[in-house]
Amino acid sequence: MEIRGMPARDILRYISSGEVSAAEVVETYLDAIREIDPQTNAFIEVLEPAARADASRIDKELRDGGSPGILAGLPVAIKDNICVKGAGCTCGSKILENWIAPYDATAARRLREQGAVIIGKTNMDEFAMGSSTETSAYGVTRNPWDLSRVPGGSSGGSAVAVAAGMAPLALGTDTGGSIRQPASFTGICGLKPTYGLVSRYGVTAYASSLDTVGPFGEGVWDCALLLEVIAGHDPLDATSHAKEPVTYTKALDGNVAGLRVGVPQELLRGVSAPVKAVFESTLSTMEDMGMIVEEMSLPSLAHAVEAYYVIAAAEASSNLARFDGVRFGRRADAGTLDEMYTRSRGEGFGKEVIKRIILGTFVLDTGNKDRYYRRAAQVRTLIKDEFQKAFERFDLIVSPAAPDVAFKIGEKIQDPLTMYLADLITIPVNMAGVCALSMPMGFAECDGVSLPCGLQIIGKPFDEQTVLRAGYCLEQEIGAGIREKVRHMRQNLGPVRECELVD
Amino acid sequence: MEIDIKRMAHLARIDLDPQDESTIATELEIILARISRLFEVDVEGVPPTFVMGAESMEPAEDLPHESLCRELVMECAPSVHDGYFKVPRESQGV
Repeated sequence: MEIRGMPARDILRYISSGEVSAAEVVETYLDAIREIDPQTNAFIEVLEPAARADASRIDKELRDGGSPGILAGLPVAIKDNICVKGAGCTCGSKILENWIAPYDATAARRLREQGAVIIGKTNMDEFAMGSSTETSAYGVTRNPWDLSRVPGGSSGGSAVAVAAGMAPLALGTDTGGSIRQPASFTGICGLKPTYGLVSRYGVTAYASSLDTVGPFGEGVWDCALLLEVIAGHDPLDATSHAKEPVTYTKALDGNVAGLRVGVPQELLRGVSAPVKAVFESTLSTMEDMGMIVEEMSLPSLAHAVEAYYVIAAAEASSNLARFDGVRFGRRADAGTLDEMYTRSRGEGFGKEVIKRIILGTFVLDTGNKDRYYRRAAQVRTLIKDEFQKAFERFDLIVSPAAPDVAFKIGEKIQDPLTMYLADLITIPVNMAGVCALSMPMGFAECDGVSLPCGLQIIGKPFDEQTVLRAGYCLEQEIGAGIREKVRHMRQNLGPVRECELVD
Repeated sequence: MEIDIKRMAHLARIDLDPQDESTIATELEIILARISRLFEVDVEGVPPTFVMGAESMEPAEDLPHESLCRELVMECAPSVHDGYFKVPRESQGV
């Protein structure tokens, strides 16, 4: 039986029926990481001994007739800004190089409670600041569809772990598109939950009014399952919402005919012609399925990127003040306290992080706060209100998940503005605090290479059910061809051959 | 508007080498020019949204609860002495 690459649902069924053990499943994925990750660099740390021990414990529990949970024995990869007790949590930064998390983030704890096996910590842009996983202090993560391209970011490692078949499921974080854009670039599904649905306790804060934790999976069902486990009220996160728990996997089947779907023209500006063609074909399929698709406008979205970079930088400059070499993380040799702060931070942070902290310090500086920060927060109100109004007319809003397919490594890293604009389509969702799914909608040609591109399905706050149901039903229509291409991509990856990876 | 990088780096307590200082200044100038588009938006009378989901937030009950144990927290620190974080003196020669 070939476990690797099998849908999560099937792996769980085989484990619970005893046809395969959790230990065998974990070994299969550890082998996959060993073979493939030298090419992709998706993992910062592989938790081999802990994963094996967890798998054995789950097998024993199953043999003894226990119920280890709905994820029993399933390997899950976790982005390296989410604390997993006993594992490193570098956030892709040198400043946390040797720091070991002393506790589990709530999301990680909930996975363990449901029997998931945490297989490793994945690479990311430093402190989630980036759209390509190129700003990590631990090297670039490569896109398995074309190793010369980026996987997107900042959760690039988690996306690649799933896309390349090194983990059936993964967790990421999304502050401005960091789950949805890499999902789009790597041909998998990723969900940015509504702000407040998933606890951020134990997740390193970047921009607290925008940060969310969400799932990656090969298909929509996988994301629904993982969301079901991690969602829910947590008194340890003040922004966590006390909503009734939802069994998202049970909400997938159903009728989508009659759903009203809006297409904001502002989110189509700058989208490449090949991606636009795939998007239009997807809209036709949605219409064939009975959804009512209509063009609409959300004018304030034109200023979302500017407002985002002010708010995110301001919050980052405050949140990252905690990395001062006193209580945890890197400490530079210094004669005085002030020197210790400045050297520890100067040596520990990478250039992109320093740039955003300085920008944040500037927009919060005396005289600038009203001019920049307050104004950006007012623009956010306009964006939020426009979404709210739009959702009186529409059940869903759709767009491509990224303006183009994955770009080449090094292509945009020297041009910060172009890189920032790559998030143009995903940022408004975080600014409004609503939920959105990124799922593969097809393939677009770029330089003679066929690369995946994603559809973004945006939903009302706390209406992940409708988003997931629409995505799941659409997947039944268009998913077979995409899955076939994913299988083919994985076969081509194979074990690493020496001399192949010359930078 | 120009950013005084030296002053901002000092406020943020970051030691910058001169080469980074110059590239960061150039990049931030471009970014700030883009951010200035915010001034085109009419925000007269619009309340700012600083905190998300504030309407559903409730204060936690003011009761003692379990937290991380002191020893565990201290194990993460670069330098400790007698159960306290140890740091260099505030200025040399004091």
